[in-house]
This record gives sequence, structure tokens and C-alpha cells, in this order.
Amino acid sequence: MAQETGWTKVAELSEVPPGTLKAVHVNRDYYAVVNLDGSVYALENECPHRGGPLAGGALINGEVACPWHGFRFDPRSGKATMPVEHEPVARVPLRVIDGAIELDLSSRNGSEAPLDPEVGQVYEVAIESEFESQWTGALGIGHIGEYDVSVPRAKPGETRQVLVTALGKNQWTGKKEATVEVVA
Amino acid sequence: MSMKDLAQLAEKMHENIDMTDQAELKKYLSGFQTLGENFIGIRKRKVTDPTSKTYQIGPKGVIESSQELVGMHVIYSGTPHHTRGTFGYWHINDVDEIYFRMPDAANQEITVCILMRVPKPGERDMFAWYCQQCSTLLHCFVYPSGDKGEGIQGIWNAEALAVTEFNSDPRFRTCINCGAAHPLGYRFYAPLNTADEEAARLVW
Repeated sequence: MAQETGWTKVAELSEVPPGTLKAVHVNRDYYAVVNLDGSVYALENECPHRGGPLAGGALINGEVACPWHGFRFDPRSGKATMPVEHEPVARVPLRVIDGAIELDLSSRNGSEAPLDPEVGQVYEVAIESEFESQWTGALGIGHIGEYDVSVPRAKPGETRQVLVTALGKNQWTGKKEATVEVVA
Repeated sequence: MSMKDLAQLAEKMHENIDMTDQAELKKYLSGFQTLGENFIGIRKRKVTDPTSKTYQIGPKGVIESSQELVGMHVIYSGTPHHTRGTFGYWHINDVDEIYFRMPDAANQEITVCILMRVPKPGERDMFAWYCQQCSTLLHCFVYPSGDKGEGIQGIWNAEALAVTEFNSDPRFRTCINCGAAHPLGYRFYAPLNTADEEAARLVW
């Protein structure tokens, strides 16, 4: 089967068991692939603090800790979690096809249209993990970009009002209420 | 900064700072003074004092800087560094800190000059605490020193806020990775600390 433009296989899913992270490379560029309880994410490998190799660090409470100075990042969003004021690490689009981890490297330097979710807009939300008993963290993937959202505990098929926060290169930093449909 | 620049600066310091004038010297010993585009501090250290060790964190983990400073030592920007018994946090700043030994050193007490450039916009000073058992970053207070432009006093004010915040909540001082408890943080300037914070100075 011909490979779609931009998607590059970097590892087998079996090479990155849940709770681990692994350095992968395409040519001379390295990325950190993280398996967080079965959900897989990819980040640029270079820590935005001082360039430490993130894949050589540790997963602590679901956060990637840089091996050099311990700065931590949420692998789902790339946002810095300690200290939170720090610049994020860039996420790299990832998919798993037939047990193979693929990265979409075509968008690394691309730009997306500014994101401005509208109240009432329906977003598909895939439940990833639980933060606290009352809230469920989720990664929403809509047709105009990717959003990090906090979703009240909900069952698939239910609709909830949530705060939607745009991430990364979307450059939209505010929050808006939006209706999301929880799909899985 | 080149060695030539450094040599010129050292010469300028010798011209401007009278090391025999205790009142003048005290200004530098008790903190930093601004000289041109740099912050300058002077510290006297006893070579044999085991409680005054400087540590820094880098790719090789926590390492101890030599107290018998010969010539010059650089703590590169972004490197967490902590001097035991002197300030109770890991300082992470976005400028290099240059340490060089003053030439009037005695055998058992050396005089060290600390030099760092005044932060530019976008540069920060961070005050951090790492777990003493497993090195996990416990807490980090970020002060945008370059954007604020408040000089050295702004950094001292941020230090006070950072230490107060860290000490205010036991959750900040409890490692999320191994559960170990961290001692209280403390400020450089002793009179600003509580009795408990001063007690922590003896511990780490």
C-alpha cells in the first residue's frame, strides 16, 4: 500500500508499551513517542528549556520529565506543567495503523488557521484519561484543528458544555464554552 | 563575554571597589550591585567550610562545584544551581553566572566575585526545588525579570514570593514521584526569614 504524503512510520506500537517513552528518529530529527496508558503521542524531542532530550527522561504522573533539569510537559498537549509558565514543546501528529506508529511530519512547519470555537459547535472528543473524580481530560479533534478540553464526566454519545482551549501553533489562547459530543 | 572583556571588567572593579573599605564591601557582600550592564556580588568563602558547597544540575545530574576556585567558573544560563547554607532554592536564570577569584585571597578564605548580566526582555529568573531523593522538580516560581526591568531588587522581591509560596503548602514540598518531603526554602538575606526558615539553612 502506498504511503500517504507526510506520514512516516517510526516504530511498532509494541516497542512503546504503556507507561513508557521512546526516542524515534527520521533522518537526523528525533522525536519523543509517549504511550500514556495506551494512548500514544509524539513530541519534539528537544526540551524548550535548554534542549535536553525528552525521550531520555521519565514519565511522572503522566507527564514527560526532561532528564536534564526536570521540567515537565503534558504529552497530550505539549504544554508545560512544571513550571506552567514555560514555553510548550511542539506536538507532532501521530497515528497508529496496523500496529505501526506513524508521524505526520508535513505539518511540522505548517501554519493552521486561527482557531476560534463557537458556542454550539459540535466537536468530537476522544476520552483519554481521568484527571480527577469529577473531571475527565480529553483530546478533541475537530475539523479546524486540535483542542485540549476538559469534559465533565460523560458517557459516549452524551453532549456536554465544556471549555475549549486551543493549543500550540493554532495561536488561540483564550477559552470558550462549546458543546462537545463525546464519541469514545 | 570574552576573556579580554572579563579582564577589563575585573580591572574596572578593582578601580571602583575598595576592598579595604568595609562599608563599600558590605554592599557587595550582602547581595549584588549594578555596575554598567552587570550585577556584581562578592562572597567570602572558607575553603574548609563543608556547609558552603555549590551544586548545579546538568546532563550528568547533580554535581558539586569546587570550593577551591582557581581562576574562573561559569554556571551557564538555564542551569539550576544552589549553594548550601546560602540560599534555599535552586536558582535558574537565563544569563550566565561567572565566578572568578579575587587576587587578594587568603589561604583559608577566598574572595569570589559573581558576575551576571542584567536580564534582557524575555529572560527570566526561576526559583526551583528538586526532590532530594529522586531529583523530581517539585515546584518552580517564574519571575520574568527581563520584562519587568526592576533590577536586582525585583529579583530579591521575587525570591521572597517564591520562598513564601513554596513554604506555604506542604503539597509543594512533597515529591509526586517518591513521596519524600523537602525541607523549607529560605531566602539569601537571613533577617527576612522566619526561625523555621533559618533552621532550614542549616539542613541544606
